[in-house]
Formats: sequence, C-alpha cells, structure tokens
Amino acid sequence: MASVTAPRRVDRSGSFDPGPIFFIGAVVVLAILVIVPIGWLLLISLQHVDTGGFTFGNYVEAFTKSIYLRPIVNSFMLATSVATLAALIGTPLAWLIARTDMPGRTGLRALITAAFVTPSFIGAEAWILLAAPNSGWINRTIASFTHADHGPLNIFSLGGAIFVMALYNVPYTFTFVAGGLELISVELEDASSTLGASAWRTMRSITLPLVMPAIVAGFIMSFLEALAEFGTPAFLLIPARTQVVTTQLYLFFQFPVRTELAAAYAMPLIGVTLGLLLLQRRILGRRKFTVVGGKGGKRRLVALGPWRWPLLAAALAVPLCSVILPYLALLATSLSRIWSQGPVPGNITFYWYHWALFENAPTRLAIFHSLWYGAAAATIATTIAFLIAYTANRKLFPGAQALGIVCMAPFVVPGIVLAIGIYAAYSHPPLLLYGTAAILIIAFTTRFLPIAYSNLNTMVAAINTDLENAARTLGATRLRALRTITAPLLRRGLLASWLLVFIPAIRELSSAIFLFTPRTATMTTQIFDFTDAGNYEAVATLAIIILAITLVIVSAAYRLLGRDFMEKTST
Amino acid sequence: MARIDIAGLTKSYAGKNAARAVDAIDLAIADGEVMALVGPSGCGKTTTLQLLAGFLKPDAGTITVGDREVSSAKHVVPPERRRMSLIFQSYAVWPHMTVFDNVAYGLRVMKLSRSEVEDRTREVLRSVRMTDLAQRYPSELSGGQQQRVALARAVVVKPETLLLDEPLSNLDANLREEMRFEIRRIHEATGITMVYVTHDQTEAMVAADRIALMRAGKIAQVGTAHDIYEKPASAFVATFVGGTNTLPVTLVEPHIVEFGGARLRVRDDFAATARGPVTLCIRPHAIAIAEVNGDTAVGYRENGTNRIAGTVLRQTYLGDARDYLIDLGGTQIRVAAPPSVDRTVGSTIHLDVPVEACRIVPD
Repeated sequence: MASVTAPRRVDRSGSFDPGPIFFIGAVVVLAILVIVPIGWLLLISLQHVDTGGFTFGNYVEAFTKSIYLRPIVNSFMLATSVATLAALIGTPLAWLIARTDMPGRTGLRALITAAFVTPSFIGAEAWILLAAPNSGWINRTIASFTHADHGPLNIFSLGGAIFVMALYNVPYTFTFVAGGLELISVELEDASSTLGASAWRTMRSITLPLVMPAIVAGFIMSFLEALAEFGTPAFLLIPARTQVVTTQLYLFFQFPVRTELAAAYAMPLIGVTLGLLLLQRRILGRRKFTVVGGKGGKRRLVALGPWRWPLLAAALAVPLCSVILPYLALLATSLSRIWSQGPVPGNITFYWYHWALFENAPTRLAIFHSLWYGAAAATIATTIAFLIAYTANRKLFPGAQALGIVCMAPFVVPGIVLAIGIYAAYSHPPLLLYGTAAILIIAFTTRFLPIAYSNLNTMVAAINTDLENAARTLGATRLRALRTITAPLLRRGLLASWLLVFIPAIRELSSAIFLFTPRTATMTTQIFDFTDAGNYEAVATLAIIILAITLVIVSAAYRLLGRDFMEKTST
Repeated sequence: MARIDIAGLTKSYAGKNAARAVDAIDLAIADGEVMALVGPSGCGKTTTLQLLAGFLKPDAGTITVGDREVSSAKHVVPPERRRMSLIFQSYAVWPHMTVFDNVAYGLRVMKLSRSEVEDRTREVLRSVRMTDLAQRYPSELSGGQQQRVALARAVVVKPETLLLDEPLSNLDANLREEMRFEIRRIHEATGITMVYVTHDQTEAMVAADRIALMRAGKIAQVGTAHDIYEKPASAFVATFVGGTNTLPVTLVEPHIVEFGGARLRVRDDFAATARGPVTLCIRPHAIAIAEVNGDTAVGYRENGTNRIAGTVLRQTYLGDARDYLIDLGGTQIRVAAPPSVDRTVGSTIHLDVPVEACRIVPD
C-alpha cells in the first residue's frame, strides 16, 4: 500500500498566528505575579541584611528571641480558640437549619451569608463601638444600671479578639457541615432507627461521624483564617499590647524596617498553611467517598416540638452578634455627629456620608482607589486564570499542567506574607513599584488568583474540545476559537470569577497595609488610619460604604449565578 | 485536487503505554473518493482522523494533500489552514449561537462580504432543509437537526476534504438512514473527498467507496466492500466484516487441508505454499445442514462440497432463521439454517459447505 510520492512542497504559508504570544505572555505574567514575590521572600529571609551574603541568622533571631516567640504562642492560642469556638457554634447551627423544622431557617441562612461576606476587621470595629471598656454602648448601658465606673466587657483583649473572629468564622463550619448534612440520605439514619436506636443515639453514632470530616474541614479553614488575619488583631490586640504573628510582622515594618526578619518570621505561616490545606483536602476527599449514593430522596426534617422557639432564640444569638448588632452600631455611628452621644435627635446627621463622599478628598480618592484596584485585579486575575486554565487543560506545551499549581500557590501564602514578598520584590530597581497603584493591583491580583483559577479550571475542563476544534477546522486560529467559542461559552464562569476576585479585593486590608502610601490609600487602609486616630464616625461610614457595595454585588451575583456562588471562595 | 497520501504515519501517546496508537500506516485516498476507516475501538482510526485534521503531530511519517505536505514529525499545518472540515460524533454545534450563526461562522472567518455570507448560508441551510429553523438555538433542535447543522456548517466553506468522525453513532436508527442519505447526496453534489470513521461495518459498506480496516494501529486490509467481504486478508478481517467461523486446519497440499481427519478442498486467495497450520474461514450462512440418507462419509465430495460431522450443542429459533451452535470435536461453529431445519440438541449432524465458501487465510 505504498503511496505514490507526488512532487510535494512543505506548506508553511498562511498568516502569522499571534496565539503563542498570548499564552506565553500569560505564563510570564503568572511568573511575575507568583514566583517573583515568593522567591524574593525566600531569598531575603536567607540573606544577611548588610553583606547580602547567605545566612540563617534571620531565622535564628526570629525564632529564639522571647519577644518574638510570645506572638507565635499567642497566634496558636488565638487560632485554636477561634476554630474551636466557631466549630462548636457552627455545627449545631448547621444541624438546626439543615435538618430541623425550626422556624425562620431561610432568614437565618441569609444572615449567616451576610456574616460570611462581612470582613472580620469591620466586625472588630463595630465591636469596639459596642464593647470598648469605657465608651462601648453595651458597657455604658450595663454601667447605667449597675452605677459602676465602666462596664464589664473589654473587647481590647485576647478574649475579645477570639470572640469577634469566631463570630465571623462560624460560616465556614456552617457551610461545610450544612453541605454534608444535606448529602446524608435519610435512609442511613432510618436504618439506625429501625434497629431500635433512639434519636439521640442515631445522631451520635450515625449523623455526627458522617459529618465529622466536614467539621474538621471547617475547623482547619477557621484556624488558617485566624492565623492569617491581620485587621482584627491589629484593632483589638495592638491596643492591648498583645502581639500575634501578623501584628508582629507589621511591627517589623515600623521604623527601623526589618524586612529580612519579617521574611524569616513569615515562613512557618506558609508551611503550616500548606500542611493544613493538604490535610483538609484529604479529609474532604474521603468525605465525598463516604456519602456516595446519598444524594437521593427527600429529606425528612426533625420535629423539634416545643423546643422550636427556644432553639430559634438561641440560634439567633449568633447573627445578632455577628450581623445585627454590629451593623446597627456602625449605622448609628455613621449617622451620628459625635458617636459617643448616640443616635439621639440633634445628633443624627448625614454629615459623615457627605464628608466621605464629597467633602474630604482623601476618602473620596480612597473609595475610587478601592474600586479601581479591585476592578483591575479582578480583570487581570480572571484573564490570567482563564488563559492558564486553558493552557493547562489543553496541554499547549509539555508540562503545562504544572502552571495550575503555580496559579494555586498564593492560596497557601497569607495576605500579609505575600505583601512582604511583593514589597521585597518591587521596592527597588529595576522594578520600583512601591508607592504606585501597580503594586497594590499586583498584590490583589496575586492574592485572589487562586479563587479565579480554581473556578475557571473546572469550567474549562468541562468544555468539550470538539466545540473549539470545530472552529479550528473552519479556519479559526486557536486564539479566535478561544475568543469566539470558549470565552462566550464560559461567560457566566468568567463573570463569577471576576466577582469572586473583586469582592474580597475591595475589602482587602492585610496586604494593602504594607504596600499603600497616602497617594494610593484604599478604603480599608483609611479605616486603619482613622481607627488609629480614633475617628470612629469616619470608620463607621467607610465600613457601611464597603458593606453596602459588597451586599449589592453579592446579591446581584446570587441572582445571576445561583445560590452556591459564594461557597466557591472557600474551596 | 485533494488526493491524500499517508505514508509511514506513526503516533504514540506519551505516558499511557509505549504501544503505538497508529503504527506506520500507508494509505492513498483518491480525489473525490469516500474512504471509510473501520475497526474496533482502540484500533487507531480516530487517532488517524485527528492526525489528518492536524490536531495531532505525527511521531513519524507524512500526510500529503495534493502536492502539499501538511503533516510530518517536523511541521504540522494547523487545522485552520488545511481546508478540511470535520463532522464530530458529538455534533459540536455551538450552543451559544443560532443555527444561522453556526453555519455562517466559517464564512465570516474567511472575511467574506455580509451579503455573500448571507447568501451562501441560506443556500446551504435550504439544501439541508433547515431554512425555517435558522434563528433557533441548538438546544431547541433534535439530534438529527443538530447533525444537519453540523453538516451544513462543515460544507458551506467548500473544504477540499470532509472528515467524519462516527457521525451517525449518536442518532437513532431511522435518523441514521436519513443522514446516511444526506451525506451521500452531499458527496454526489460536490465530489468532495471524504474520510469517514466508523466502527459499524454496515455503515462503512453503505457510505464508502473503499474501506480501510484497522486493527491495533495498523491497516489490516484496504479495498472495496466486495473485496473485503469476499477476499478477507485475515481471520480478523473475515470476523469483523460479516462474521465468520474460524477453524484451525493443516495445509497438506495446495488447496487441500486436513481437519479432524477429513481432507477438505478450499479456496486460497493468497496462494499459501508452506505446509502447516492455517485458518479456515466459513461464514455461518454458507453452511447447509445435510440430509445424509446413510451417506456419512466426510471430506471433499465430487459434487464440489465439503462434508463435516458435528453435534448440536444449542439451537435458537429466530423467525427467519435457526441459529445453531455445533461442536466439531472441540471447535465450535455457528450455522444459520433455514427455520424449517429443526434438529434436536445432542444429535449428530452432517454439514455441507461449498468449496467456494471455504477460504484459508494466513495465520
């Protein structure tokens, strides 16, 4: 069957295809965003500050001096307490809402979502208004009854920080456990009941073990959040002179700046985060296996009988503390000329909104900056994540799948640590970006790139390649097929990714705090500065503006993209 | 214009195993010919099609279209510049575009004028009877309609070659008939070269001028349906196309084999000379259950038939035939007998097979 060899020419004709440039460009940008800062962090942690030579000295100093060791102990105490408390509250709450006939379940769910999208540092601000030792409203109310000098609560304490952070971490355990409970088939419980087990015994020996992986996963998530959180400890613990790792990192950046020490000090955070995330992934992976086949069947709700209303009251305590009281406190403060006088006639005013939005140039600019940096970061992160997800899924070159790991790498780097790396990488020539908008946009893009990537990766993988190949055979280049077929098919996924980056970016404090200058201040850094200055009316006003923007976007996204939209941020 | 020459084409997938998905195949497809690539799953036919379309780069060998070398280990002309349209098993009709936009896509890529795009799209939609559905979205169409859109979209750009990847396998039986006709009609109207991948030998026989039967990355036989059916090059070909019984026999002299002590006369299209084991192929419907009338001698008979003896293991009444499973001393064969021939299980019977229906093939 030998073919006849006709006179042939090798075809190299045709127009120039710019496709490879795009994909290579995306890889280069990815390297700039992720590898450079993390690499720099590692590098300077091992560099002698004066000579530039190799040394372990920074690590030795960071982990032997007792003033630096105390914050590490505090951080682990804080994180363990927060995660434990959040799991203890979130688990029964999930059971009440997912599996019982308690009234008001839909409303409670909405309130928990509101807590989910509320940054905990804003919660901390609100709780300063509510429970500062002398001026907090709850304290003053109690004091007016007991005729004491000051109220019993002190939010400026480790206990106060644990309380506030636990409140805003409840949604993690809640989401994981409620999701797990909804997957458990009622037959599994019925099987136990038919063997004569009491309801309590069934819960203990069947239901609880089945959702145990979800509880542990929620615990790990809260633990990591608490470990990496900067805002709440900064507002509640710095005044109490109690340092945790993140506030200590911040102090390393006060004069005299000790970048190399900060880099060494931050390394264990990355290690702990990576280890726990891998553990969580294994636990969740096994959970999927456990509940296989548990999807079918309508779930029967547990009848609470006379306990319905008392349990509702108990459940309401959680959103009361995390949403209702804080929002009211912030709203009242933002509407008061002087917050300590309270929302009474004569003190109520829209002055601070007028001030923030029109009168005061710095806040006006900060609002603009937050929106513009957020939008830029969301656009870049979505674009890069899409191109990389495409490159990795279609294996455009050997080893392309490894790019996915690079995209996900920032996930294990706490925001404050990432900011140190970015500061180290871009605060000197050749790339002198410190003080520019670019450095904040890079920080936000890098920090939230994993969210966009994990979201888009599954979506690109789900697209049948035939759809693109059909366009190719009809004369479209790879890039044109990407633009006219793949991207339009993924438009909801792209929009979702954009929003999933934009929402956290406009409320990002921990990385912004290291990288902003007065010319590039954002809403969050302004809140930080106003807190320092004790201007709580301005803090509350900006907080309400952030919350309003967030709630508008989240509710629009819910309508557009469905109920499980926000849950993607936690995976 | 679009003669396709495949020479020494080889492709293996990294990682999985070292086995070659396509192993040094040679195939010449004439201009205007419909060539079917047929074979069991995993035989390499789809890989061959992907190589033809330019989605894969060969490890070795070349593909030449006309006088243009489009694929080699060094250089692959990308799919968009090969002038080959592909019809996908999954239809691959774009769900976010109307029928009209789906079909017009290739014309717009070619940057034709708006009116020309409009005219040519309308014309091809009329030819596949989809004019009324031009503004529908694919989700509003049946499977058959979607496949017609895919067909219109592929041919409207006037490709040199049309590649079809299992185009009918997702359709139900009567739609399949209709689409087969549609594809044939387009071929007659355009004279386009087609390469048609299918695992269904009947479909290949209906649709194609010639069939290339593939197995384990190699081409087992190329020829017309008649050639392949009547002169199978191997037991695999005979089994895959039409189905056959295979008997291990020993060639004792030209055209004479020995089977279970009987000497049978056979046809030998490959002029086997070496004495020794060969395979005898006999199609089930070529075997008659004999009325012996006491004549139980087995072997070649003067009336041009071979007679063999066996035992009925099982028989099934199928309405238009009776399917027998017969044991020939360790080898089992199937016989498609007329429904009226009813022999009880366990009885010894004799079978007559004309010499022309007994073929030996190389082992």
